[in-house]
Amino acid sequence: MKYWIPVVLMLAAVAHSAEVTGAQAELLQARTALEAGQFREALQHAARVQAFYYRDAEVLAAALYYEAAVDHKTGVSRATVSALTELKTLYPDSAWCRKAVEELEKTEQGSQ
Amino acid sequence: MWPLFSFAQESQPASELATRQLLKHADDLLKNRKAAEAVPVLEEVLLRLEGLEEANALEARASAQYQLGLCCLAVEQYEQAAETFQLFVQNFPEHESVLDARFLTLEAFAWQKDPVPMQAYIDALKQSGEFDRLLSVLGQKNDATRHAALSLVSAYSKTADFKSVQRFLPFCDEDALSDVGLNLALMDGGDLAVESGEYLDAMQFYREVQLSAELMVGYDRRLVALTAELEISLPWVPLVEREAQQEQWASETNRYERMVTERANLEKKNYDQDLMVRMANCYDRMERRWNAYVIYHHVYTDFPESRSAERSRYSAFQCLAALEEMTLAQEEAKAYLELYPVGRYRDAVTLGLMQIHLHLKDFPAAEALGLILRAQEPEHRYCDQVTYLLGYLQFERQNYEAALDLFQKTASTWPERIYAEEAVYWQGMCSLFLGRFADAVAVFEGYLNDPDRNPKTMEDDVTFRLGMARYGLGEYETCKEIFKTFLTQFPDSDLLSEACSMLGDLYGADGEMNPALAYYAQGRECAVNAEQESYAVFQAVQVYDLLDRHEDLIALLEDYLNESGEEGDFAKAVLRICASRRALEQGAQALDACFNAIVRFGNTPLEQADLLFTDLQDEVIDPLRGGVSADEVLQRLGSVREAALGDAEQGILALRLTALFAGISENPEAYDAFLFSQESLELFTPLPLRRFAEVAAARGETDRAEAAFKLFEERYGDSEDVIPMMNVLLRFLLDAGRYDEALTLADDILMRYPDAPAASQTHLLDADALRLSKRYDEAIEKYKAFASVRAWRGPRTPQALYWTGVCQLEQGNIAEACAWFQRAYVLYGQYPEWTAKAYAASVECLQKLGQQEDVIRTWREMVADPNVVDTPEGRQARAELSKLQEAVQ
Repeated sequence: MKYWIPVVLMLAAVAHSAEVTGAQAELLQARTALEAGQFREALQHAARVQAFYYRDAEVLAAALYYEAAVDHKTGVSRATVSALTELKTLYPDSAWCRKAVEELEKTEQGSQ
Repeated sequence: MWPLFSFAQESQPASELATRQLLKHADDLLKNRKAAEAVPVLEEVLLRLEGLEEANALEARASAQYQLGLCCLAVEQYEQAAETFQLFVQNFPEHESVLDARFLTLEAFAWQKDPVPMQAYIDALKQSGEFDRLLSVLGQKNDATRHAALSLVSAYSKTADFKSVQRFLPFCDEDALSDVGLNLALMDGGDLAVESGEYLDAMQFYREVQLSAELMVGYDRRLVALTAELEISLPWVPLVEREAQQEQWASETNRYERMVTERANLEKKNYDQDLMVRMANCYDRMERRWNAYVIYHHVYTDFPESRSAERSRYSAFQCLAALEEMTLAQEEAKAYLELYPVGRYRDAVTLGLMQIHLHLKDFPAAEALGLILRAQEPEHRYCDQVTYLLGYLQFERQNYEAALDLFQKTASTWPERIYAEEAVYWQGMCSLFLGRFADAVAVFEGYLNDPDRNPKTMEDDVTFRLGMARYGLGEYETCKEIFKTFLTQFPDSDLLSEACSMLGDLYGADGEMNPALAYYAQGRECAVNAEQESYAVFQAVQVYDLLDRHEDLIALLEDYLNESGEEGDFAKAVLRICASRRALEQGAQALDACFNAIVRFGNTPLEQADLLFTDLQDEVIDPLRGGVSADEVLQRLGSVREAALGDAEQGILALRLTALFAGISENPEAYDAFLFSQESLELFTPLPLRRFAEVAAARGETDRAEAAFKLFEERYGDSEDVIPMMNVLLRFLLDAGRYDEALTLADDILMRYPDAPAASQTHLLDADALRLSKRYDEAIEKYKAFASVRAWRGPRTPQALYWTGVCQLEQGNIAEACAWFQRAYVLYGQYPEWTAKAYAASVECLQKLGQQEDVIRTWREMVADPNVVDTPEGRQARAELSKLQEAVQ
């Protein structure tokens, strides 16, 4: 029988190198796409991390950061609860949240 | 644990037993776990002991009260249980079990469906500081606290209180966390949070749920422990406790068997996909569609047999549609319809796919889908919407009669549904477009006067269209009143500007130009988009033109250009300013306006900027206009081109100017070479792209020519400016001998743009294709038809006459041919290229007819015509005359 084992779902309990690599690979691709201005691709990679690797708070926060960064760059997010809101609400003490506040919110305020 | 009472069992009612016997009876019942029977006995005990202050009596009362609470919990009388434990704490505040009782109170509240008393109790505990002590009880790991933590987390989950869940979850050990009930409760908590819009709480609930792989690990561990317990022989207990011991053992055995079954079920069927779909739904509600989509995609891709697969594919389609990922959405919808031809969401997917086709303007595909659904499933959830969309499609195709039927059906069959109101509006619109203005008025007024239709969300649109319908009936005064009322009734409407412009048109038609201009000014003022502003401005321009108020016209358009810039119809405005300058005999200023506009707008990628360049090119080329010479243009704009060539940001301007110079220069080779040296066509706008294609075709670079045609079709395929480029393509096909393709293309262009001025050349090329296909009679008809259109008379008319002559000549009709050639040079002498050809061809005919005198006379005419004498044909005529003279001498 086939079981779906979300690749890094068990990360919290057992750190598995292959699974960590999977999450990190997605994050790396999200970052690369973001930097290349390929926002659609960046969102897809960030979404996969949030969907399949959510037990690891660190990678989840990173994925939320990349999604928030795309929202910020495109200015087209229509989300009722944005990635930035989720990051600030659930991971307020994470480095990713501080980075988001520093880079995204302050830029926004500066441009107003 | 509390010591149990030890009384003999009696069959008498509790109220008839002596107190000592009563206590013994209660003890027996508790030992045998007969909670329901114990409740009235314990109540009687409490009644008997009430008011007694001796230590033993107090201890017994405390014990009875606590046990009563436990029994009430066991028989699921949660309200009474909570009340009893609270009473216990109140009556025996110093008792060692007060913390336990408080906790049990919380559990009793937690299991009640109403969260309010529980929250009140927690608030009271927090205020008194007892809550922290309560948590310390849970920290002690034993069966009671394990069960308590599990119960509390489950209970809080059922009220979607994630903060409390977070508080108690750490007290759940691995066994508790792998409890299916707990995990289902967490999912329920997530669902409730979603329903109340607390999406982040919901995601946290879902993220705490263990998946089947994790659960099975927990089950295996618990089963090993339980097996070990059951394998140990039962210890000896007194006879009186034997029954309870057996029951306990049976209960554990049952638990084991139940767990084995649950473990087996987990392998066969689990809630993993349900959980994933719930998380996806939650992201969907948050409008974070990519997050939702990747989960849906995962579910139906990796678990195609799952009960969630169909729903996931449908939801994935909806996500993609919301993301405006139209291509992916179409693929998703098509896959759904193939996989689930009678699926639960077939109607919804079909409707969604129809809407996507509509969005992409693929009307035939949208209609085909709607008709298939209607044929296969006459009754479905979205009949009204599909019928409405089918009506809209008919309207788009200008089949107003059919559209009217469908809108009428939508409005009358489903008057309460979403599109009913719009269907009424479109009924009126159909009547309007059918010219049945009275019907339109009836529909619109019926809508406006319907007391049951409240609110009227389309009141402003309908009022506006009512005005249009009255206009159609020729009731201009009523029409004016409607639009004036509109201005006061709907001051915030998006149609305000259009109403003002309509009033401008009405007053203008009556010759009342000042009110007309005032309304156009107002229309411009309140315009909500560039189109409305442009309409008002250019209508005012028309009035100024009629009044010969060119200065005012120029001032208005210069202001418009300053205000709107690239947002407005800048090319049209500039060309109109130039025309007015010329009307004022200010030719130099007209040219200045044109040159300045080229500098200002020439680098924008907007297609309309090319008009500035093509108009200037025509001005130079067309001898009938002759407003400016090629040299002047090259001189004035040469430095601009040089500057643009040196600035990477001015690439579009450089290309446009190069194409212009190539088009007007006597030596275009260098300009053409520059255009042709460009590796990328990215910055090419219509004019340079057309020139590029011409050069490529002339050089026989078929691939590059076709690349240019393809790019043009992709970028500008919908614009009227496509025609000149298509004419280049036609010429290319003719030169390549691909006459059938040329004929097909020409037919297509002429069908799409029958009245466009640029289609005149297409007519000519169409005739050329017939001629080259040796279909001379058809070609002659086409050339004649072309020459008969007064509006097309110009440099191409002598061509049409000349080629008609050629067709006649090819068929051996020499006299007819000669007549056509003569007509060409007599009537169109101002176009020397074709005049010379026509002269030469007529000479050929006259020679064949043996009319030598006429031949000589024609040669003399050619030599005498200054426009012809220096053409190759003119030089040939002079040579023939010389030869003749020498022969005579």
